[in-house]
Amino acid sequence: MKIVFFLIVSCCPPLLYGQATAQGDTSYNIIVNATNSVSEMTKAQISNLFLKKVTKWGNGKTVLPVNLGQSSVIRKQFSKEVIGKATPVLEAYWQQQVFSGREVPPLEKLSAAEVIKYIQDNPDAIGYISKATKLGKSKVKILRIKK
Amino acid sequence: MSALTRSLSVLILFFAISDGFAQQLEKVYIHGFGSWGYGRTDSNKYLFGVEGGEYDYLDFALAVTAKPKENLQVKAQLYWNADDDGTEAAVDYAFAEWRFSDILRLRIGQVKHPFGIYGEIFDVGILRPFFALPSSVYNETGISAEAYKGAGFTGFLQTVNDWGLGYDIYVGELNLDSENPIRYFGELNENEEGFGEEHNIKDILGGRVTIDVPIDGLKLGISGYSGKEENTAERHSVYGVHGEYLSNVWSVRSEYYRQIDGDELKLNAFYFEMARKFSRNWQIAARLERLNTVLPEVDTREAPSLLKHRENVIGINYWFNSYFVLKLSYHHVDGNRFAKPEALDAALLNHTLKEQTDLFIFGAQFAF
Repeated sequence: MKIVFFLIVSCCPPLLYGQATAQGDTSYNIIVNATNSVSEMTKAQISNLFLKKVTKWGNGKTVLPVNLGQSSVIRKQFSKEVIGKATPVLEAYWQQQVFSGREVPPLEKLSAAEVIKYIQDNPDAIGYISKATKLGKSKVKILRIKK
Repeated sequence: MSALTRSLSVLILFFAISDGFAQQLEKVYIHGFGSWGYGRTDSNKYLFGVEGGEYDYLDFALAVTAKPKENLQVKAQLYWNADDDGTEAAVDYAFAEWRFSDILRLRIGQVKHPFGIYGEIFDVGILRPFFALPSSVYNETGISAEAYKGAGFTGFLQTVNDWGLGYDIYVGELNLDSENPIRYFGELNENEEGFGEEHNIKDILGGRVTIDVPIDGLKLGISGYSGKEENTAERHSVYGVHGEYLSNVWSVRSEYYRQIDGDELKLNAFYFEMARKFSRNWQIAARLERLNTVLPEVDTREAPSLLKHRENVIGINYWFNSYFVLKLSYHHVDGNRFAKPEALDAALLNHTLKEQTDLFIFGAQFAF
């Protein structure tokens, strides 16, 4: 059901215009390329993208999640609130994925500026940055978290 | 000290002081893991422990993943292992994966055996609470192989209300590094043909289904396969259930399997292990194992302990972080299915076989 909804969200964003959504009380923004047709997602959907359980957007393109560096406070908060796992549990998850030959973890960028640049350069990327980071004229947009 | 041992020691030191190093390029990813261990028993040889102590256990693996094209991944893992029996190098897996979608991926080559909880992470010590895997299932029982050669499909489907369904189905050949205990009774019974330590199981059909339930960290599954033993043409079948619960504090795992080799051998294997972290660094763990082997056509009254393995283990670990851990464990073993004296034949003839074995293991395990 979630997958069906995800596809609808991805393919038909106009259907969702005007829906009331609220950003949670977080210190990060989730961002995608400005050309991405997706405007909002649930935390569970975002989590599945960053765990690579779901690897395709609704249009069939491969999702490119990008993490901040391992020591980032924003990453720790994102992992806990969106993915719902503490850092050691997530690290073990990725070790298991890698050494079983299943999947590799998302790319890491060490700064918000690098995350923004990567998402600007890759239309299918998704990342997160501190809320305090100014987006300026960058070609990225903030994804609403649907409750 | 061999050149390999020296090289690996340097690598261990390097990775031990690196905090989660991993080489990550845009399209090529390199990761690795390894272990060093010391084992000491009071009598029999068991795992890499011997009477008087043994420092030589060492292993190291490098995993490479390349994504040359969208939907195509090529993966390989090389593995080196050294102990007092010598040094071996092997290809853990090498295969190509084509991703049609998240629920349908084709894998061809030598693929990690999707079996149970530890089948795909057989040698990855950093992912378990004890230095060694449960012998009842993962020692030379003939239950789990390290990889299959052939082709398979795998996928994951996220369903409603946080339920998830993962599956694997595969065909090909399994190379089981197993020891059939009938060889010992064969000698006693003047009948020991075709029971070497390597078994090729051909024309296998196997699969695994795992279910992620809405309780975060809980996963249940069933695994099994069946094929023909190359030398004896006996059908070799294994099936069973497994479950694990992983949280920030707890890790609980259990598996049960039944193996049937025609009319020749039947076994039941079970273990239950749990571990709890008491701080960011300290973890205690306990495990209980049972393995019963039955050889219906052989008189085993001469040495029934060769068919039995019962093990209780306790351990304490110190985690520097998720990439480096020190482990200390005490194992009490009842039975000689795996714990045996170096001179087994003499012990059998002289009736001096010691059925109880105590083992201490201390070691370090790491990954990057």
